[in-house]
Amino acid sequence: MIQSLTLPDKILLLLLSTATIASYFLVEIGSDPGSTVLVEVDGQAVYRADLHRESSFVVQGARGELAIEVRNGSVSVTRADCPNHICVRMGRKSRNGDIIVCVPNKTIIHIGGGTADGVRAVTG
Amino acid sequence: MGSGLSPDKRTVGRQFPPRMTRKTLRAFFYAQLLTVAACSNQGLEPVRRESTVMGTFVSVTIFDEHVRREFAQAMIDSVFEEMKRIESIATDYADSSDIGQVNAHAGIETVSVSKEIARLVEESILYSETSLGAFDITVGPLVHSWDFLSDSPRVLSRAELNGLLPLVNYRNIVWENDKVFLKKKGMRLDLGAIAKGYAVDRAIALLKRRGLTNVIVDLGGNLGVSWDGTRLLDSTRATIFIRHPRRDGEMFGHFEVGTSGVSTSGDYQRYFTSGGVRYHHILDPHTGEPARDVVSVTIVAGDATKADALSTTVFVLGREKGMSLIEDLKDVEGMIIHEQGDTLGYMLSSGLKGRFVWGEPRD
Repeated sequence: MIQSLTLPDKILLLLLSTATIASYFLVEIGSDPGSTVLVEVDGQAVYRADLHRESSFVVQGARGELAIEVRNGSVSVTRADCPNHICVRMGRKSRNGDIIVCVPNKTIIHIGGGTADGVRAVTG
Repeated sequence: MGSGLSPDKRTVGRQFPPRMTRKTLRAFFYAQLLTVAACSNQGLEPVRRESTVMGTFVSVTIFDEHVRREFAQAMIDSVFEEMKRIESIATDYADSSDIGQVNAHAGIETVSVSKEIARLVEESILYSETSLGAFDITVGPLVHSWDFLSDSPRVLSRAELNGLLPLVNYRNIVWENDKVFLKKKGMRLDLGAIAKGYAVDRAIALLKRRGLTNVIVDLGGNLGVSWDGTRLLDSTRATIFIRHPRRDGEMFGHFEVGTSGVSTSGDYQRYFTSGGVRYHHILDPHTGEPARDVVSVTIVAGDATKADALSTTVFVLGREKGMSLIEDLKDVEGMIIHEQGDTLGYMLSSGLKGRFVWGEPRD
């Protein structure tokens, strides 16, 4: 079939395939906000980190410090100045839209810029 | 004549593009269309924001299509404001709030409160009467003494509890129109088991008035789902996941709901351990101690206020009486998780049977 094509056909085909393949990459970039970790204290963004680069840092929450660790594409709170340590017990989060919350420290850690995926909610 | 209009012989023999190529082209055309569809879908992404209010975290997600993001953002701002306003009148931790005023004047005099606080108190008494006191907003003195929010909570002795229990009884609330009076000095109202659900309902109503009818509001696990089914998505229902009571970060299972309120009361939400025993924040008003029969209760009801109040009520009532209350109430469904040997068992109300899916979700 390829043999039956003229040169302009082939050029057109090549252009179209290039455009199609390129557009898929563009969509990929557009839908993935970059897998970032964003730490918010009382509504203010205080720290931004790359989810795929190992790091550990300490942020000042509303009531004390939180030690946050980014490792293997996931984020967790390793230590926090709060009474119940619910944020520490929430464990490691890695999926887009996941959040870790420390209420006493008014701190929210978002993954991927905090966009929600699908129509779901969690109770409990 | 008209020779200029006759087709050129050279192009008749060799159509452009050739037949095979046309097929290929069509395939590419559809591939491009798909790409465009995938791109434009981004404009339909829900608008979601989180914050902290009423001692817990809140998230509001607006799924409505054809809504400007700026408008959605502004509406979410007003939801957060509304929740702060409700907190300011319903909290018992500030003397300036309506409830704080009622508590400060317990045993002394009648206090005028806002209409909505009066209605909430009235509704609370209704749940108390329905449950023979398993739900009781006069648990304030117990909640205050246990102080599960403190850095070093401690177990209250039997003597201490016996000293507090006479102050806990919804029958000692006197209310008329917009006036509330607590008969005994030292009594304390605590709307902790109903106010969050109420705030969620207010949020849903506020958004609905502005035409937003595909919305999920989550105030510390008290969910308000508004789902009119017009959203052009694959689903006309929202999937609700129930947190695993014993494994952090894991889900116990899920079910789907339409427009409704969903709430969970669990012994894992606020607790401390002492001598190997778990002391959690859901107190039995009759004993003053944490209710012991179940691990968690999830209620699906017509609105979030009802779901919030009933999840606590059923938790305190326990498996048998709790489930029978759920079955007695119209438009209320529920799930009770309890200990079963070393593992967890669960009970579903008749309307949830066949809808609940156990286990971690598969993506």
